[in-house]
Amino acid sequence: MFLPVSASIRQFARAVTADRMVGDELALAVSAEANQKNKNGAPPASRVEWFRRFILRWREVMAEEAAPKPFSNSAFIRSMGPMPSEARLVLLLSDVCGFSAREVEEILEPLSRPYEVLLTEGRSLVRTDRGERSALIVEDEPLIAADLKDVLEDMGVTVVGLARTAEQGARQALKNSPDIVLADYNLDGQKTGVDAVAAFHDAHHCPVIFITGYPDEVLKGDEVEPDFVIVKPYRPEAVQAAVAHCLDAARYAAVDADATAGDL
Amino acid sequence: MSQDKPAAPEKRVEKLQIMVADSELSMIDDWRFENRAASRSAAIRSLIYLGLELTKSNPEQVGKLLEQLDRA
Repeated sequence: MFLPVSASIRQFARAVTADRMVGDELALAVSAEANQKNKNGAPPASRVEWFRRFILRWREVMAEEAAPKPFSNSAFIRSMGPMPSEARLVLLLSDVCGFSAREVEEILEPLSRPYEVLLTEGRSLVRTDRGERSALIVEDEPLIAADLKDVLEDMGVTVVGLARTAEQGARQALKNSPDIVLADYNLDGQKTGVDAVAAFHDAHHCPVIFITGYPDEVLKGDEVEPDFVIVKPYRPEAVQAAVAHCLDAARYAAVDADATAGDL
Repeated sequence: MSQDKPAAPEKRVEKLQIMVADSELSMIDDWRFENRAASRSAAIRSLIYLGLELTKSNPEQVGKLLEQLDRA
């Protein structure tokens, strides 16, 4: 299941930065730059073309030699630091955004190495030793909660709490200070996963991944829009890639340089 | 007997979040101190005021400046 294009780009940028506000600003700034450059051309005809132009323009802005004009889009984009490595981009586009091999090849054309090699390298980033990292799961379906726990433990992340309600979730987040939270967007009853997160996010700030069966209802671009969304039914590799990247987001450049040849 | 609740006071202030690079924040702070603005927020309000006023009084210059910013 695919999100609308603009929401897809926002989600991708949020995934890259692991931050809703910064990600949205990055998505807007790069899109504005891409439109500026392509003023008289036809708008992208496909989701793949949107992503291709987005990443191409991002790369071009990063490669500019002249210092950017203060307060310009370029200045904002460059202040984000280096782009993710090619392997990490392949991982995010394939496993988190759900693009096929051919689509990823088209988006990132030309790839420096074969897609399969880059994907393997990207997926190896998921398994990078991150030391003791912990997660909290807020999910009212016991079977899904148990499955998510397996998916996380499989990648070496310790699950420090399984909450079934928004209140339990907030209590456990404050008690256990997890490095990341996975929350069902539609919890049983009145409160949603967003309520659970709102209740602790000021006291304990960490990346939150929402899981929902209804992305169109969730991603309307209004104020209560969640940070980062994975669409149900989820694939385990999508959850793992998203979690791994969120845990790395603040320092992905260093992780990539250690784990890969430093290909960007 | 039910009493009417007092009407909620009108909200008069909006908190805005903006994102700027470190170097841009230094430029704002320098402007703040050079112009003795009471706070960072006051400095940014003054700069917005200046931008809005300049747009009214000299739209051509504003247009050119914006174009330069877009092309940067």
